Amino acid sequence: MRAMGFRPPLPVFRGRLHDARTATVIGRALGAAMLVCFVTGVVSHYLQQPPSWAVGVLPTRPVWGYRLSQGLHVASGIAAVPLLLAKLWTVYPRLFGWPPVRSVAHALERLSIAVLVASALLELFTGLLDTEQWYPWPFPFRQVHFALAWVAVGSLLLHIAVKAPVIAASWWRPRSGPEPVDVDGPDRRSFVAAVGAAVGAVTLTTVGQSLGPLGGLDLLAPRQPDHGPQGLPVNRTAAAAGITADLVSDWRLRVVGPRPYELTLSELRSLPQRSAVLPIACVEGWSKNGQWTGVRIRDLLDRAGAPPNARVRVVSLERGGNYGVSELGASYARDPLTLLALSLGGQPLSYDHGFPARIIAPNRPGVLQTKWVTRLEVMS
Amino acid sequence: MKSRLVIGALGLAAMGIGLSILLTDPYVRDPLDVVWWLAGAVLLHDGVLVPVVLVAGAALRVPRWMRGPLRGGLIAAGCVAAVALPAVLRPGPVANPSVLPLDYGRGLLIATGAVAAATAVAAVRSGVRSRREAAGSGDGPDLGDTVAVQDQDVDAALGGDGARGVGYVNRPAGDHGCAAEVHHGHTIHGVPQPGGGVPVTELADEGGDGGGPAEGVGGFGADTGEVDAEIGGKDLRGER
Repeated sequence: MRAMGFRPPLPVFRGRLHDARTATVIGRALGAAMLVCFVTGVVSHYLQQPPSWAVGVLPTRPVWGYRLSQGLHVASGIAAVPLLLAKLWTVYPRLFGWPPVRSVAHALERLSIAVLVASALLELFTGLLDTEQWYPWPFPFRQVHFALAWVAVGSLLLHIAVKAPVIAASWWRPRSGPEPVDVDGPDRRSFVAAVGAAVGAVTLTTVGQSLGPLGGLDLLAPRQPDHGPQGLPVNRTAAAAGITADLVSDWRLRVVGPRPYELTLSELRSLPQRSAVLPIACVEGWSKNGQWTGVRIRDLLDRAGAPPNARVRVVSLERGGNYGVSELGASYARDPLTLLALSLGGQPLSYDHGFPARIIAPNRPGVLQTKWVTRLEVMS
Repeated sequence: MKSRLVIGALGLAAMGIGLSILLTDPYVRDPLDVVWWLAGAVLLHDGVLVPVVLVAGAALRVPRWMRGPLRGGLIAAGCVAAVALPAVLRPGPVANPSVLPLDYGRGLLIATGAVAAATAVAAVRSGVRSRREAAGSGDGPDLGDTVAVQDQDVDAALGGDGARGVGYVNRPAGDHGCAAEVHHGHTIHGVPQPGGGVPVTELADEGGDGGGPAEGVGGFGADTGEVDAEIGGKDLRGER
């Protein structure tokens, strides 16, 4: 390369740990975190927007499935912050490789790395800010976060394919023996332990928002499971949704189906009541169990003469927002734990939790647990 | 080879899916917005955050026994700050009192303090072990070796060949060529000493009494925690 004569005054790196073994050790942990984050993110996406063939068969067990999956999504994303920063620090000198491009294949590889680095950084950044409901960018969060997830994981797979020989050669600790001893071993272990400690620190200070036993340590979590009316956080308040005492004073539940009917709140309360302990699990990562009491959706549908495989459109009184209408597929609608809940923890629902009545179904994103329900429509 | 091709093809397909969502989703009005933010993320990371970390690592010179614990403390404190700062800096009213209900500046301080305390404990243990080994081998002056925290070449910081050799100890070969005064902070007293015989700093002496290292390291850890918090802050503020 010296034959080319010109070399700009690029930085020279003589520090240690910018080697393939360090990149592999950090990289495989980062890859695992990204994979967990991606899979749980896709699960969440399709639970919220199922393709039409899947609507009726979404699983309702385990009841805490979405709670676990979305808790993992946010926790693995947060854990990926130290891992990504450490990985990029390790390989940073390669940014200044000279000549910058050796061949078409090399140019494409560098381009794919740029895509990987950019999408991974922006993905973690947007995800972290979403948990705080902060949207300083000009594009919609959900669609772009979903699209960049595919870009990031795709470019990660491409990167793994390109680097496979290097990864394989660096997968195991270099053995002492005839080969030269790995002089960086102790330093690398110290560095990896430091990154592990950083992962532990960011996890311990946030994961309590979905993992009850660590609730006391979540100094930095955007939500506290106990903060909120009736000891449960809220995303959209009654005020924000335009719900007033006036609006619900003559509230009736309308059930539209083969045998349509209406019920007042006291009539609903006189129907057989069921209780279920089910989590509210938010897409933003926080979750908490509640003891819900109300009428089974199944019973309400039977009374309307709905066929057993019916889907149900749930219509809320709320104004504005994207979640005033939701749909219960047959698996949710028939599940004995799916309730039109009237109370939480033995107390009538507060306005912010959906008074007079809300949906609560097992294994479901919180944003679909429609509040202030006014109408159930049986769909053919 | 075949599995590499399959993985690579899967990767390209996934990238294609992501790209098609970006280009066709009706809610994404201008995909270029996303491109600018992607480019901004890389520029701020590669152009600001990493250089700052490298310079900080090269500038912080400590005895070898302190290096691992201090580096670990800085990494952990910096990452905690990176995760906490959006909550600290988020402007404007929140949707309701259950969103961001805590005092996150306070949380960050407590977490940083806990990291500093853990760093101090680790440094004391490391110092004691190092001293014991030194006493065992009779190689006393080893305790006084100084190394950059990230062991990062200063050349990288200064961006040119011209700076080569300034204040840098290549660790495996790290003899007693440098003296450092961590106490007085930012000055790099790392220029190779012609005599090569000035290695044992005050810090090495301090290792002698049990309380010394803890105090020194604790104060240092707290200090640098703040520095690192600022690094994270620059990154995140910049990305807004």
